Amino acid sequence: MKKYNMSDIRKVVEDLGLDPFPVDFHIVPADVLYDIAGRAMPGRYSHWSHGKQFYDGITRHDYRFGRVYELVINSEPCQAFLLDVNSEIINLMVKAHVYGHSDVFKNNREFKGTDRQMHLNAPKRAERVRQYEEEYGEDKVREVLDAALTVEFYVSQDKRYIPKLSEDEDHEKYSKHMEYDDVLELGSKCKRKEKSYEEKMRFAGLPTDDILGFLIQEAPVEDWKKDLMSIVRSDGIYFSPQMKTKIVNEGWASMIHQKIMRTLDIKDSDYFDYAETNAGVVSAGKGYLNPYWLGLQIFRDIEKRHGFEKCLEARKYETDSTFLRNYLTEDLVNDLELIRFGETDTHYIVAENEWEKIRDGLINDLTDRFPSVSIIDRDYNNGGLLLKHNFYGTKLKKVDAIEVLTQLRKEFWKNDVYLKTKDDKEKDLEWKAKPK
Amino acid sequence: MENYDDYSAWDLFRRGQIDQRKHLKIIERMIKENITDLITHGKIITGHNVAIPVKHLKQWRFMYDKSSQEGTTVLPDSGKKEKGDIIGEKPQEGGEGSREGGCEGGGSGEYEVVVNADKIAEYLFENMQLPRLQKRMAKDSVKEEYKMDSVSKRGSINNLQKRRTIYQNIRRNASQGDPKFKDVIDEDLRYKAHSVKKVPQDRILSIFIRDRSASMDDFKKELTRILSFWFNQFLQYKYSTVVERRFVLFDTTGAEVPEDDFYAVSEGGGTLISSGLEVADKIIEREFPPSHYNIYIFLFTDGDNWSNDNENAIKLINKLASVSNLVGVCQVMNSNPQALFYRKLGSGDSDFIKNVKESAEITESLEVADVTEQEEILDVMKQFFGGEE
Repeated sequence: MKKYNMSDIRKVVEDLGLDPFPVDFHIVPADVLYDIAGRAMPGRYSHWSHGKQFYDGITRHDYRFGRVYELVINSEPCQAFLLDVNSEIINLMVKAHVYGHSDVFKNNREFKGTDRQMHLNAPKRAERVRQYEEEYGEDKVREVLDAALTVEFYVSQDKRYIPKLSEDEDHEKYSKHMEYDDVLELGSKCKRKEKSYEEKMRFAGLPTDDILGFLIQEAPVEDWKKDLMSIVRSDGIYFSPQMKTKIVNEGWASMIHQKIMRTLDIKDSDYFDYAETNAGVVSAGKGYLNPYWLGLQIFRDIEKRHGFEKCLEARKYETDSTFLRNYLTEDLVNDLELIRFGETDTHYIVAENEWEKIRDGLINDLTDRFPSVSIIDRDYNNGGLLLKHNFYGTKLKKVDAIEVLTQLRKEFWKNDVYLKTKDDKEKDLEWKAKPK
Repeated sequence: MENYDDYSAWDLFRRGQIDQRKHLKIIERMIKENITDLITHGKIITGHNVAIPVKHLKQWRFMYDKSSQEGTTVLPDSGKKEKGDIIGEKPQEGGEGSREGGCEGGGSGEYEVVVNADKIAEYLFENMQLPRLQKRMAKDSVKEEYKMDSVSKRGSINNLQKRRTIYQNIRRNASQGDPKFKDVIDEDLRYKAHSVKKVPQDRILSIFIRDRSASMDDFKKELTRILSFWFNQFLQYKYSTVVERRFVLFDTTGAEVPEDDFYAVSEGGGTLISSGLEVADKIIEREFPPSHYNIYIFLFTDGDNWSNDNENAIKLINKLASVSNLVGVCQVMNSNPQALFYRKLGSGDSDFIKNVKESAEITESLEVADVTEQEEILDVMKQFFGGEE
């Protein structure tokens, strides 16, 4: 039986014009893979929500198409994890897919500046978390983490809010690296005349949507809690690009694995195994949109109309929303038979049939996943923290919002926390954290 | 440039189990703190498991409140479809839990945890007693229990009782002048051993009787199902011996049925409550002499009986109450405003129920509870099973 060599794949990938990071492959059993999938990173700090996903992942293991086939971490070298029960041919396909991901991590603009040593830093941070658990108790640490995670993705790449961590991640040093000067300069953004010093301080650095960054700097809490917050923030910054480029990433990786598998010399019997898995991964998916499939269709369309060079360019510069805006054409929407659906009490109905509205609806789904919320005042009603929901037509769930405000108040701000938002008639509302 | 390694290196990263332990620990604590919620809001999904909405375990975030779902999907022949065309039916409510949304880190949605009802029973039922439980024994109702609570000089090495062994060794050495632990010989060794105890068995019979007449709508049936599930759980939990359970359905006639049928949806005709009670009476007569059994009977009805039958039904209730530890009558009712209004006026109770309530005042083993919603379950259980009487 012919052996399929790793070097075959790497060579083909490079010949195509890809430029991936080197990849470390690990063949692992299901529970390890699901552990990593649950926390999205090997060795990441331990949190109960990871346990829930671990548990779910394990019970899903036996279902054919729900399997996690691979996991690849954005790092240099990329860490890729393959399920140990996959057949050799499947793993070959998976490896090809992994190279596609590695190529996106290295070359897509969104990923510039991400922490390529995350696979080494995450376990170090996890160790600090564990030490805090020993010192302050699991429950206390969990409360702080839960509260920080409420605003996990309200972070910005803005270096001004990133606490500088030294090479060996010595957390004691970081608070001395805060750059207050830059923050004070931002106060001049506020359009007011003759600001007093107090006023300047009140709105310094505001408005900001880096809620976590702001709290790390300004919250009256102990350093160890700020360290936990900064860990959550680093993760948020690290994962943000991946959330913005799911379709581009999966589409590209699917296209690459298909191309590569076609060029390799594969026996028929192995091919069926591959074809079935491939079909499962890139099928349309009833009732939801499979990002692998959609991304693949768009890339194929680009290649047909403009050539593979254009695809290389797209994987470099596009995020999901720009990718769709630029390349999900009217022809493609019609060819793929996409529609926008809505619901009544009893049925699902067609909500939109015009291609632009379908495309825009999809873009909206992707970019609007988290409501936009900023901090606008740090001294509202006597020391309260005021947040503002930037309203674009959809109201917020009140119970959830108040829970968030309550946790932020209890764990970080130690004073009232408010949220300005609107109801569905666009009337102004103000919600407040629950008192203790 | 690329490397492979053996997955054993990832043992360091087998943190999944640790996270899972944390997860389970939280669930246990949640069970304890929210025990009433579990009884009143949990959904029974199989014979032994309860699905609990885990809102307390939710990772809170700012979330949109979208009154209706919108999304994009592939629809064959979409070219021919018009705005407003129907694509498909929504799945029915009822039995539908909120599904966890995808695998996004942190879990932004609610989800359900399936918990074995026994686990809940542990925390909940600690304080509840079966009233008037008497030790009615038949000749063969004594069983042998084996407990590993004695010590022997013989046994298998797996059962070595270390402390006794050390103690024996030191004692022996002390008697020879050197009270230290050393030079262990066979004579020192002690093993855990079984002792046999004869334990009187409680013999318990429970009969569940349900009204399946037309007036018992889906809501009342569901309420009945939940109540009987938890009564069952309680009985089973409290008494380690097997509880005999019998099930009776009635409308104008009564019949004993298997357990599954008892819970199954059924459309019936008119109501003769006595027909159900008679079947229960016969079961007892045939198979479970009251002198040997502790009998618990639960009747689920909305009380809507044919008036001619009331006298007979009351007679039977009183007869059953005289041989039972408890006859618990659950009047399941709708809680719509009209029904509540009539209840307040006092004209909500049917004649049958009024009579039973009168009887209950003077009969210790007869209890009547009004139930209009799942949330009241705990109160009913306290009333029926509460410790102080």
